[in-house]
Amino acid sequence: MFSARLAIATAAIASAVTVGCSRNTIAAAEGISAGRAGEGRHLLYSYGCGSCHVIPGISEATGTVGPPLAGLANRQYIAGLLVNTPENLFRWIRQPQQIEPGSAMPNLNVTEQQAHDMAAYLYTLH
Amino acid sequence: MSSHKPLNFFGLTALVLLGAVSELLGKPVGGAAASGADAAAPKRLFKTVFLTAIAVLALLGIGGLLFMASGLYNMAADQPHTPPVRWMLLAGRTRSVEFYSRGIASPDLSNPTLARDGFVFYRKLCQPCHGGPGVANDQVGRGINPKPPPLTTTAVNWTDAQLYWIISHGLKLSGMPGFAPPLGDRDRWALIAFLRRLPLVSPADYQLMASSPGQPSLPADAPSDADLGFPSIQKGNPRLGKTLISQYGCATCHLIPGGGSGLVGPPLTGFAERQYIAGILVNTPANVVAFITDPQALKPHTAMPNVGVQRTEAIDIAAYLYTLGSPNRLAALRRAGTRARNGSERAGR
Repeated sequence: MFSARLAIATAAIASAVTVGCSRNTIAAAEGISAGRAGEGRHLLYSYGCGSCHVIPGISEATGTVGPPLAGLANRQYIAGLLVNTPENLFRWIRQPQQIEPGSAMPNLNVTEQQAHDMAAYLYTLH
Repeated sequence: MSSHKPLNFFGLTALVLLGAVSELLGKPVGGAAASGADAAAPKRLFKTVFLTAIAVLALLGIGGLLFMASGLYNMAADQPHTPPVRWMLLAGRTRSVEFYSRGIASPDLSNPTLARDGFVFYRKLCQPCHGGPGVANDQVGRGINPKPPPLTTTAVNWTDAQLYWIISHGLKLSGMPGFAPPLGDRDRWALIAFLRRLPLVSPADYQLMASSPGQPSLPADAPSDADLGFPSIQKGNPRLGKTLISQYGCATCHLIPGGGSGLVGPPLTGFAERQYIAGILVNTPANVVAFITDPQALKPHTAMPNVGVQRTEAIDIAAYLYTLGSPNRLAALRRAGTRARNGSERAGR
């Protein structure tokens, strides 16, 4: 027999489980990046990363100049050249032209802390 | 340029609508045979609904004005608009450009000197906000909202006439200025000629051009259809390509719609729309075929291995990949490549 209380309880548990999973994902990403995912989300918007990349969860991020960043956390390589580790991701974000001269990705003068924050967000993308 | 103003059209429409409504309110809505009391009921209902609708719209309007006056809407440039406001502004802008650029005739842009001259203006006036392939915009461009888009992928969404209008007049509520002074007529068309060639320029070439002021090395002639690889790709068989992707195991590394979901390299979703491949090559049929057959030659130390794909097989694979996503970018590349010979824009774009 249908019970409103049962429905509410189920919904509460379901949302707790979902939120709990997301919180763990964010915590893990922030842990390995030594950055803040929320700040990273803002930076990815304001640096215009979405002009070139489709990035889940970033406003107006519908660019098709470069590859989509969905699933970046699980990707084996960055830019086809670097093993996907936090250190390599920081380097790539900050100095792509030094790593791959002639890359379509420009040097944007991203600071060290900003790169950590951006990585913290990108590593939530599973 | 046309002197029609949309205000007259809307004003007229509003008057007609108002007249029609007042006529309806003054007359019974039912047929002439309806009795007095029955005839009045539908008319009252209509009147109630109509007046309620007017009241709701008025309240929304006042509410909107109060909201704007309150200062609660965040106007920070480094924060995005809310989606409804953004949609409204963009739709309005697009329709406005389409309307006001009617009647502008675009000239023949095939003269190679035009594109070269256009690059000089691009580097000086556009690159600071829009950047270029592999070249960042300046800090001023990064702070602007709406973000100056990468023109390699976005200029194709406008006709020559629309680009001319935008470049000449700029856009309200954006950082895009009008360049009518200081650029003369010919200079603005030269800029557009360059914008049509820009998607064909690799990041390495663009960086070379951008670093040597006064000596742009934009090749005089645009690449031909054959250079870009279009004739071969048209003979490619996408269905066979899909099978080959499976046989060669491409999806063990790439997420390929219809193929599988590897996580080693980037996803190939919407592949036809991607501007560059492997970060360094313009996404043309010729480059895709070359990269598939010998990635190490084009990008030493790339994680993508040479697996011995034959050229004809690569053509079929590329034909399949080009079914992923909108074909508009490829069509525009073809037009850019052959424009040098055919002159101005074809009708019916």
